Amino acid sequence: MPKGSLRGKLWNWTGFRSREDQITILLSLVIGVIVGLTVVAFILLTGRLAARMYPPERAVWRRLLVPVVGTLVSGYLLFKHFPNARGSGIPQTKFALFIQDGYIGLKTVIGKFVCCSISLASGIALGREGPSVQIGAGIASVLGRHYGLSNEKVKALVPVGCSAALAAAFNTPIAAVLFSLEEILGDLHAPVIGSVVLSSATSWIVLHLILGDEPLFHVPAYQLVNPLEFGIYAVLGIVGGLTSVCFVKLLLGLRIWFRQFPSSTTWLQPVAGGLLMGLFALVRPEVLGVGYDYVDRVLTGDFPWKIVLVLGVMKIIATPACYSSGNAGGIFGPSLFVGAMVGGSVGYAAHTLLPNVTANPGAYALVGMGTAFAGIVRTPLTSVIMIFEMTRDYSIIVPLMISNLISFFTSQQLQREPIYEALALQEGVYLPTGESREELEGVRTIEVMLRDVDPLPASANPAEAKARFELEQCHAWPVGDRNNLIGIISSRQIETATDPPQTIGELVGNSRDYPFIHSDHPVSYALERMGSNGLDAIPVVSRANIHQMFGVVRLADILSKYGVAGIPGVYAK
Amino acid sequence: MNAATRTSGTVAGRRVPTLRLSLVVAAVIVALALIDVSLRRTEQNEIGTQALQADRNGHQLLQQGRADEAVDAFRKAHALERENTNYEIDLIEALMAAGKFAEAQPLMREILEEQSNDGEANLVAARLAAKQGQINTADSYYHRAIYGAWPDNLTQHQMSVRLELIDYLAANGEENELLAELLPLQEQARNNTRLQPRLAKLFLTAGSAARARDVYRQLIKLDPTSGANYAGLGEAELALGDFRAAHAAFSAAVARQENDAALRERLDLAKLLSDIDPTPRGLSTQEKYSRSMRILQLASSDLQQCITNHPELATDDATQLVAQAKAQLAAAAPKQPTNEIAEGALSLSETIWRVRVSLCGTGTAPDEEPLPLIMAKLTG
Repeated sequence: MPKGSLRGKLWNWTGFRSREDQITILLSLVIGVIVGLTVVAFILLTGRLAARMYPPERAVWRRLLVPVVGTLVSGYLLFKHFPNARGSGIPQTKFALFIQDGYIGLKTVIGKFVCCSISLASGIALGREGPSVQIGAGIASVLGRHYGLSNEKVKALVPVGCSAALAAAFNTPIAAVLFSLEEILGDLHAPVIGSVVLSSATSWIVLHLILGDEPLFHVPAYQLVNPLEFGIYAVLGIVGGLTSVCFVKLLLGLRIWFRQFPSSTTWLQPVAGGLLMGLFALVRPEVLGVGYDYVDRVLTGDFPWKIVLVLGVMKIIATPACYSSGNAGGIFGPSLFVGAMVGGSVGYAAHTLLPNVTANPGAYALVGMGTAFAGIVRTPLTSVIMIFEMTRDYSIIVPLMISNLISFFTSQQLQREPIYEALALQEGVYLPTGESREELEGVRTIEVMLRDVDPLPASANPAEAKARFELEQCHAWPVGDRNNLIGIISSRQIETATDPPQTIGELVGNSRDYPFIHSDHPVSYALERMGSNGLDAIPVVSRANIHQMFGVVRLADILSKYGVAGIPGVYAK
Repeated sequence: MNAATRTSGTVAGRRVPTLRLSLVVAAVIVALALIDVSLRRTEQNEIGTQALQADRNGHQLLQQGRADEAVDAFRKAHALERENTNYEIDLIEALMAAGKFAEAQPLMREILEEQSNDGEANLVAARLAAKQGQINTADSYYHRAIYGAWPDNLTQHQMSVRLELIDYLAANGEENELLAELLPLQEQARNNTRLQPRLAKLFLTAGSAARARDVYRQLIKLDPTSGANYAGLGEAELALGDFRAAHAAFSAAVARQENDAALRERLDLAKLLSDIDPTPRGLSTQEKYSRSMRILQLASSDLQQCITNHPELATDDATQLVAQAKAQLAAAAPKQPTNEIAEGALSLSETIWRVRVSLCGTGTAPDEEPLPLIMAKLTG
C-alpha cells in the first residue's frame, strides 16, 4: 500500500502498519458480525425447537421421550461425525489456544452448532453459552487461517471469537471481554484486548439489531433494606461456594465414572443424561432446558420456595449427569439457574425469619446467580459484571461483590482445580492457570538482590574493577555512586578495549543507556535483561530516578533462589 | 494498486485470494442475516400468538373473579412480550384486583419511567394509588392521565378519565376538588345531553346547588316531560333553602311519576319544610312564632335523642339547653307574640343544633331530615 495514500496514512495513524495487523483488526470486526449472527441464529433455533419439542401443555410422555431421543440422536452424531464438539466448548477452546496454535476446524464448528441445537432443543440441562464460545472461537480460527494469517495471529483471534460469542449469547459485552481475558487467556492485560473489545461490541450491536434491547433477566430494582443483610449475603456466599463445590465434584466424579465404560458405548452414554432429565421432568417440567424463564420468575420473588429448592437440587444433579455422559452443552446457563434457586431458597429462609430487615427473596436469587458462577467457573470479576449486565441492576452490586468473593474463596479452598482445568486434566492436558502463571513469575527481584553495595567509582582503574569482579563473584558491576549511577562495566569491555583506559569511567561514558531493572520486576525479566546484554549482574534502580541505585542482582543469586546454583554443570561461579 | 494485489495478497508468506474470500464472507454474512431475520419473525409470531392467548385467558379469568389465576395468565403474556405495555398494564390491574399492591407498584413505576406521558399508564397508576387510599397521588395521576397522550379519541378519553376522577373525589367527600373538576367538565360536555343529569347531580354532591339548579332548569327546557329532571331541581332547591320552589318542583315530578313513592316522600318533606320555614317575607308574626316553636321542638327533641342514645356524650350544657327548650315549649303561648320572641326561639334552636352537631354530628335519621335542612338555611 502506498505510504502517502489516505488509507496508508490512516493505517499509520492507527499503528497497524503490517498487512497482517491490518487484516487482524478488520477480521475482528468481521468475526464480531459473523459470530453475532451465528449465535443469534443458535439462540433462536434452540429456543424455537425447544418450544415445539416439549411445550408445557402437551402430553406428559413427551417430557420423558424428547430428552431421550434428542440425546440419542446427538450422541450418535457426536460419536460418528463430530467427536470434538462434545462438552461445553470452553476447555476445547483452551486446548485449541494453548496446544493446537488456535486451530479449530470448520467441521467442529458445524458439529457444535448442529449437535447442540439438537441436544439443547431436547431439553437437557445444559446451556448454550459455552458452545457459543467454541463456535465463536472456531469461526475466528477458520477465518484467520483462510486469510493466511500466521499461527500466532490465528491464536490471537481465538479470544476475539470467544468474546464476540459470549457478548451475543448473554447480551453482556463487558463481561464477554473480561471472560475472554480472565478465563480463556488468563491475562487481563493481554495485548489482544483491543480486538477483543472490538469484536464484542460488534457482536453485541448485531444482537441488538436483530433481537432488540432486552436484558437476559428482568428484575425489580432491589436495594439493601438493612445493613444486617450483608451478613445474610455473606452466608449466601458460603452456601453458594459449597453448592459450587458439590456441583463441580459431582460433575468430575461422574465424568470419571462414565469414562470407565468401553469406548464402544460412547455414542449411547449421552442417553443416560437424557433419561435422567426425562424422569426429573415427569416430576417437575420446569427443570427441562436452560430454564431462564423460571430464573426470571424467581428473580421477581414470584415462585413457591419449595419448588425453587427442588429445582435447584434437580439441576445440581441433572447438569453434571448430562455433561458427564458426553452431551454437547455448557454449564454457564445451568450454573446461573442453580445459583438463582439456591439464592432464592436462602432468601426465602431469611425473609421468613427476618421479614423486616431483608429484601424480597428475588434479590438473593440475583446475588445467588453470581455466587454460583464465581464458585463454579472461578471468574469472580466476570461474574460480578455479568450479573450486572444481565439484569442492569446496579443497586445490589456491593452485596453481589461480597457474596461472589466469599463463594470464590470457599470454592477455591475445597476444590483446588477450577472446573475447566480439572476437565482438561482428566483428558491428560495441563492448561496454564492463573495460579501457575503467578508461580512462574512469583519471585521478585527485591527477594534476590544484594543491598547496601556500592558501585565502582568512575575513577577506578581496570585493575581495581577486576578485583571488584573477583570479590563480588561476577563479571560486571555498576559504575558511579549510589545516587548517581552512570553505567555498568563488564570484564569483557575491559579486555576488548583497543586502548587500555586509565579509568573505567572512560569506557562507561555517561548516558541513560545502560541495562537496569526495578525491584518489583520478576526475576525472569532480570534474566532476560542479563541475557540480552551479556551480563551476569545488573543494577536495581529507582523507578523515579534510574541513576539512584538500590542494589545489584546477580545471576548466581537468582540460581541460588531456585536451588540450582551448586548443581555441577548448571552454572559455575 | 495492480490487478494482482486487488485479487490476492501475501500474508505470513502465503498468497491469499482476498477478494474471492471476502466475497464468500460477505455472502455468508448476508445468508446468516436472512436466516436470523426469518427466525426472529417466526419467533415473534409464535410468541405474539401465545402472549395474546394468555392475555385473553387472563381477561376471562378476571371477569370470572379469579384474580390470582388471571395474574398468572397476564404474567405469562407480559413475560412473552415485554415490549407490549398493554400486557403489563393488564397484569397490574389483575394484581390490583388480587390485592397485591406491593407487587404492582414496581411494575407501575417501570412503565411510568418509560412512558411518563402515557394516558392509560397514568390512569392505571391513579387507580393503584386510589386503591391504596393515596388520594393526593391518585388525583395527581388522574390529571396526568387527562392531559397525557392517548392513541385515539383524545376528548373521549379525557372526559371518561375526568368522570372517573370525579366519581373518586365524590366518593371520598373531596368537595372542593370535585367542584374544580366539574367546572371544566361542564364546559367540555356542554352539548352532551346524556351527561348533563349526571353533571347536575355531581354539582349537588360538590355543594354547588345553584349550578345544579341551573343545569336542571336547562334540562327541563329540553325535556319538560321528565320527572327525574323536576326531582333533581327539587333537590337543588332544597339544598338552596328555597323550600317553596322545591315543593313546586317535586309536585311537578310526582305529576309525571305518580307511582314513585320515594318522590312522594321528598314532596312531603318539601311541604313540611315549606310549612315550618320561618324566613319567607310577608309572614305574620303569629305564623313566624308558631313556626319557630316547631323548629325549637324539633331541635330539642333531636338533642334529647342524641344524649339518650349516647349518654357518655351528655354535657351539663346540653342538658340545660334541653331543659330550657322544654320550659319554653311548655309555657303558654303569648297572646300577642312578637318578632323578638320568635327570634329568641330560633336563636335557642340554633344553639341547641350547634351543641347537637358537636356531640352527635350532623347525621340524622330519615324522619329527622327536615331539621338539618332548615338549620342549614337559618345558620347558613
